[in-house]
Amino acid sequence: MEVELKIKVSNKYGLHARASTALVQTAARFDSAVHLGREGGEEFVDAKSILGIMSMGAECGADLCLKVDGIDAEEAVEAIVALFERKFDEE
Amino acid sequence: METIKGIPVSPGISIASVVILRADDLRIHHRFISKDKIESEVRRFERATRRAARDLDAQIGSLGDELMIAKQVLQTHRDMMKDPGLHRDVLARIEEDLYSAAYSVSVVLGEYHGRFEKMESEYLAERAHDIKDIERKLLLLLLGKRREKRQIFDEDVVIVSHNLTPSQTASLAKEKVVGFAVDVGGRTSHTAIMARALQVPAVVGLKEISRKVANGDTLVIDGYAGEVIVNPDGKVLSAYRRKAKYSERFFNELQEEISWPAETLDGYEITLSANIELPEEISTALEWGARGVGLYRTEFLYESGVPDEEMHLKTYRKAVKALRGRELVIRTLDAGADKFHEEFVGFEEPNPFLGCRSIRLCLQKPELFRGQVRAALRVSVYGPVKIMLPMISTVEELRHAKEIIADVREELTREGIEMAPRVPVGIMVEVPSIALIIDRVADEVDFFSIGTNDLVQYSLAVDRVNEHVAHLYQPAHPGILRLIKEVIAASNRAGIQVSICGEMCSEPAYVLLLMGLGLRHFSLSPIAIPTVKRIIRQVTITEASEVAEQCLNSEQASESEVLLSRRASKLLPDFF
Repeated sequence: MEVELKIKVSNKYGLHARASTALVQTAARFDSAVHLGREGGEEFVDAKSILGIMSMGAECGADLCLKVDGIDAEEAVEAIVALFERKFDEE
Repeated sequence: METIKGIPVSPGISIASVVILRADDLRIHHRFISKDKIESEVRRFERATRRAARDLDAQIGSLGDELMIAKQVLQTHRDMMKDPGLHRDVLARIEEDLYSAAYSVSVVLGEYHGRFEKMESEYLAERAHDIKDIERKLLLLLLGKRREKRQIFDEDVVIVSHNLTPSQTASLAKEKVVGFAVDVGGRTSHTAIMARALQVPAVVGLKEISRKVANGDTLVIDGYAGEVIVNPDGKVLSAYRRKAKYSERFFNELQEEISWPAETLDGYEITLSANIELPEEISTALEWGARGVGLYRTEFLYESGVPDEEMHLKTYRKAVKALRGRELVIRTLDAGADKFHEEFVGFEEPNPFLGCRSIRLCLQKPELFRGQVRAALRVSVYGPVKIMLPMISTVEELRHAKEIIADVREELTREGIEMAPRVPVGIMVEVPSIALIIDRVADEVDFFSIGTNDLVQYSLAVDRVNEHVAHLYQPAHPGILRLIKEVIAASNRAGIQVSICGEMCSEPAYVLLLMGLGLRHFSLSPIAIPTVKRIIRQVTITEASEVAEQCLNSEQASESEVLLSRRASKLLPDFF
């Protein structure tokens, strides 16, 4: 199953090393393919790749598009959205 | 013989022959492969990443906890080696473009490097160095170069390099490395932190030293003065040998002196505390005789982005525990006029030293400040802590900061979090305007600490690292001495503690003067404590006051300097 949704970076420091590591670790728990891109943009990066996530340079307030595809897509989306909402436990 | 000036980042003197660490020759000769080689190139790449990850694990394992910083960097590198995105990209180059494994790695990581370098966030842009570091590691393996081994040296050496990567530092057999001299970097560079952890002298910011020296040259590294002397002549060499020997002998003699009080001949006790940047420095500081930590610079925590409250708390707790009941003075974020600047402030400033730095930054971005204050208050249940606010220039700023601290305290109370009932709050006296109205501020703070580095710089309008005006940076300028004297007198009248935490008080020549001006609490770099204590134990406050009086009455700093070094050289005959 395939899920696509908008998601906002709302932790203060954006997807820096710590937040990226947390995201990669969360995404890697699922079999589904997880991709992230700028909303409206063409380019997507593998959310299981620390280099990919960090190279987006997504700052606080950035609107992103999350694409998850696979058998555990729903659980993956839930976990990732929760992580964004918890602001990567930064605060 | 040539003397090169840089920034002293780790004290001590070393004389040894040079080993230059240069960037490796990583020219890729075979860029393309034939179709039948695809599978073997893929295997070579996979093997190289596995090997690199294993090497990194071994390196991480071989590092002691004192090199935590290097460990963290190496762990990120290991994660990158296993990055599925990297593997996919490289495999695509090999399989689709018929690039060799080495060429694929260099193209793929080259793209990442370019992307990181362009990032606005200085922190992420810095990560470009990490990309270069892992590229280098993979290419060394793929090009069949000698695998990076821990280098073994037969004799003591000093390491000279343009820039030392954490993995290079980790690969050095540390027992034979007696010093570092590096082209780039500052006080918080990896080299600096590492050298202090290893307790070897280091000077950074030497600009072109890696091009000016050759392997086997003799180098003197003076980690006190921040000077490096290349191929010193006989006279200079013997002077430094004496100085080095003296410090060595001195530190040996110390073993018996360490427990002695820092007391003058006429019975005045001077408190000597330590300036630190990392909790790991505390055990050494206590060994050298520190009574506590008078200045904990917290900027290092921000090295890889803004730390969260838990990270602050974890680090502070480590420091408090290491101090076993002795006092910890936590200085809140004092960054801004340096590399952290753009990431935090978000704009460029034409004159950052007079710009939005330090407490100004914290007050403009209270969310930045609150996390640190929360952690500082929370850690107070584990041992005595104080909060010190840097760069205060007006009473309003002080009140504003104190309001935030009070507000944070209330918030923590509401959350049911325990704190010590009282956590003293004090300020750094380093802006002349506040020094001049110190009597008006005294009622509102619990302590003062005179930060002479900035006080001198701001009072004399001199940037001391600017070689064209560095001679005007004169801590003994009678104007500075008057300011210090006034601050001390006002603090004494108000009955609050005043200490000094600038580099001035680590300098043997100034110790007598500062005591004479009335200072009884010094906070200095741990390694300077024994020397300063030795001076204190040989003098009386009466004679210190006389010296201070003479300096206050001098017209120019140079007169005082002559007087002070003559005095100090009598007290520490071998030191000068």
